[in-house]
Amino acid sequence: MRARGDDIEEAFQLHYERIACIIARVVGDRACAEELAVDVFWTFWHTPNAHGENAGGWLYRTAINRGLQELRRRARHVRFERFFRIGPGPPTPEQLHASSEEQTNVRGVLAAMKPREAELLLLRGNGLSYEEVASTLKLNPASVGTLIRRAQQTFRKEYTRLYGEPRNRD
Amino acid sequence: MANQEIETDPWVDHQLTEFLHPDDNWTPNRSKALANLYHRRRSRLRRIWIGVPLATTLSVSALFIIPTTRACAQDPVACVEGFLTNPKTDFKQLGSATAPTTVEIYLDYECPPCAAFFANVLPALETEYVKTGKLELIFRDMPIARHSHARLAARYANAAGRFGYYQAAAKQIFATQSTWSKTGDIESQLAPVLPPAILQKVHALVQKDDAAIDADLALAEENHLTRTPSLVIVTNGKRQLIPGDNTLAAIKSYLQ
Repeated sequence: MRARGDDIEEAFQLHYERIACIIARVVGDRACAEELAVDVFWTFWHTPNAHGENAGGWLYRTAINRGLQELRRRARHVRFERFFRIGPGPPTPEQLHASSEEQTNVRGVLAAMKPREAELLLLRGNGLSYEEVASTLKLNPASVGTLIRRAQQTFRKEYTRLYGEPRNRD
Repeated sequence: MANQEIETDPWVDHQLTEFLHPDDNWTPNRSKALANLYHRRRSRLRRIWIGVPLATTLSVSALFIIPTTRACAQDPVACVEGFLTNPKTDFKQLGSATAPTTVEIYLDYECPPCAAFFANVLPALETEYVKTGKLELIFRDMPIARHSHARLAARYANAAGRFGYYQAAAKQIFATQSTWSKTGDIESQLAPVLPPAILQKVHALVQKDDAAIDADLALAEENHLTRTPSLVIVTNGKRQLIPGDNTLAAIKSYLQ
């Protein structure tokens, strides 16, 4: 079954801004977020199984996935530059606007984590309840709390490994 | 109990909410994004419309061309068998098939008057009548029994013709007639005008290709032809032998 243009446009009008904002929050770059959001809807258009009642959840999950993929791509790029000793290019205006050292660290940790754990933290960080997280990631609601706790432990461990002991540790 | 939220790590929560904060001053450009989405859709359709027929054409061509080329490279004899199954015969025709007049030229590659005709009369005929669409020429083989290498020479010319080299081979065979007619070594005379790969294929084909020569000989007998070169003019289904020495002037008088 192929989606009609009208259905796609309806889903687009309903979810686009939210999806673009979620991605922007992950990647910290507005232009990139808009591009990735279009990617998400393009994939949605060609994924008939995603349509219907759970379209919102599917879009949410895919948006976070795309954002994380972008973070991992950037991390790879940085490793590549270090390996070949290529100096980093000048920062884009978006980067200058968005980045602080700690923001970069948080994104670096998310990129280094397992995708599923990073997804859990981001969904939780976007204010979703356990039920919503479980529904979006198709998990057993009873295990969501444990999985989030485990993901947080991983986040802390990765942060310490990459950047040393946190300064503002509670 | 299942959905009761358990205690989380406040530092991690802080990191995620504080440093990945939402950008409140930004509204994504919805119309630009929608236009981008539809642009991708149009590009994809364009790629499909262009790509699918192109890919199909290329695949079909590859299906036929690659096996044929490989077969010819690895086993010229197998390639030759294919030619004999579907023989290409129009290589002996010169000029437009819709020309009002056709002239059949019966040649013996070992006969000196045929070599003289091919070298002196044919080029003028070609320039004046064939290239202007007035005349179609059909070359036919008429090896005379007393010429011991004439049939072999015809085989070589026809074999080269099946690979697109008829005119070049015939011209060379006539030009070197005095050399190969003593030994029968026609192949070494063709080496300068045929690419090595083609010569290899011609060599494989030449022993197997007598059917066309026999058909031409049968036609010559039907027309009661006794000498070479003989020219038969065909107009509106009527066949007429051009008598005499087949000089350009004599032929022209029949073509007016």
